[in-house]
Amino acid sequence: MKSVIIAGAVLLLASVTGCYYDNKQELYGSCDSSNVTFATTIEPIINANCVGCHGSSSPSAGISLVGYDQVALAANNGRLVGTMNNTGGHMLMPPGGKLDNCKLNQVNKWIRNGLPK
Amino acid sequence: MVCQNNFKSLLAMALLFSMSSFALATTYLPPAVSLERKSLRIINMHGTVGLPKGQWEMFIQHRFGTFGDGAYNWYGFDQSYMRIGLDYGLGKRITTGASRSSMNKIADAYVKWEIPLKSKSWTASWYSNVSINTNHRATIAGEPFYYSNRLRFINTLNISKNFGDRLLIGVTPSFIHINLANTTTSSNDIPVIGGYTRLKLSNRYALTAEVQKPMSDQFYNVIGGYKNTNRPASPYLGLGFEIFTAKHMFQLSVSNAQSMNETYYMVGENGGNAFKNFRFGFNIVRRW
Repeated sequence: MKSVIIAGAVLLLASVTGCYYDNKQELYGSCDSSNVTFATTIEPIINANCVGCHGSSSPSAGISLVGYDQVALAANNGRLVGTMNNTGGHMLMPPGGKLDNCKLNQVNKWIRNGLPK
Repeated sequence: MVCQNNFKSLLAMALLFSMSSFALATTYLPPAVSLERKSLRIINMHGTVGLPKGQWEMFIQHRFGTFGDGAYNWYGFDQSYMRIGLDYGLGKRITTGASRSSMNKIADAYVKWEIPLKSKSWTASWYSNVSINTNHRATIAGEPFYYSNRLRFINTLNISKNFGDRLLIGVTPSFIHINLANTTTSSNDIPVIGGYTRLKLSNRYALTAEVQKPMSDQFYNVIGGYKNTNRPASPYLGLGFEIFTAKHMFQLSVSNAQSMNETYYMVGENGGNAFKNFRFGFNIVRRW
């Protein structure tokens, strides 16, 4: 019975203190895909989400995503968009789940604009 | 001579009898249990019944890629997400558990309370779950980062009824809270309605199905008023086939959701209900 009360108290505490009504747009600004370049937008996305496995030393699946040339290569052969959107028979990347729409839009825009540095 | 023959036949009969009784004793007979007392989960969702006090359940779930991935990816088999978890009967009516899934890197914990009902065929329970997205900060949102950004909650009132000793039908109104919504117009609170069914074919086999969809396109938020629930066009749908062996429960399934966490597959875009969007998956459950 004691353990039940403790579990109940923990749950109550978590449910009372844990709830927030936040949204990304307000907290972190709206999605800016107007002026997408590799250095300002794409590189931070790649570094935060891809380089952990696709780094320069022994990259996963032999695909390195360090630096403009490597990322541009993946963008040109369709793999970058294919894996990020899980289309065309490509495995979803990053494996933890799809990036949010804002980041996907920025990557798409960057490729459409001809991979600006 | 006659006597000897009789003796031989008697001996043979005794031997046969002892062998058959031995065979009966070692043959596993499934316990006479109610429909859902073999696994806490139907496919992804919880049924109403919890674990008896002091009992453990371990489950391993896998969800593969879609059938539409084509022959090159062996129709989805090359890609898989898994979830592993442990459940425990904390009290007579209280079950708790925790799990970790690789999709969205989620750790979650829950408490389930079986509501005492006098009816024999009706069962009900309350299910509360907290899910923590353990992805890198940068993957979830920008800076300054708040820990609350990682959390999602679900509360479910789970009501089910046994029809005879073969059919189970359940209804599950749920309330999901997402701490960090995507845009200023997206709702943090999303009410979801759905249900499940389980048809026992024999003591070994059963068919299952479950469906979930947000109730409305808009919902009133305590902060911010009416906002969009971003209701997916097609509901989450799962069809399953259960095999109960001597010690394990195998739940094979076909569903359109890759995530195994309620707060994601119930409200997220799982893809349409076309065959190419469905994927194979399985749960393995063991109790002790």
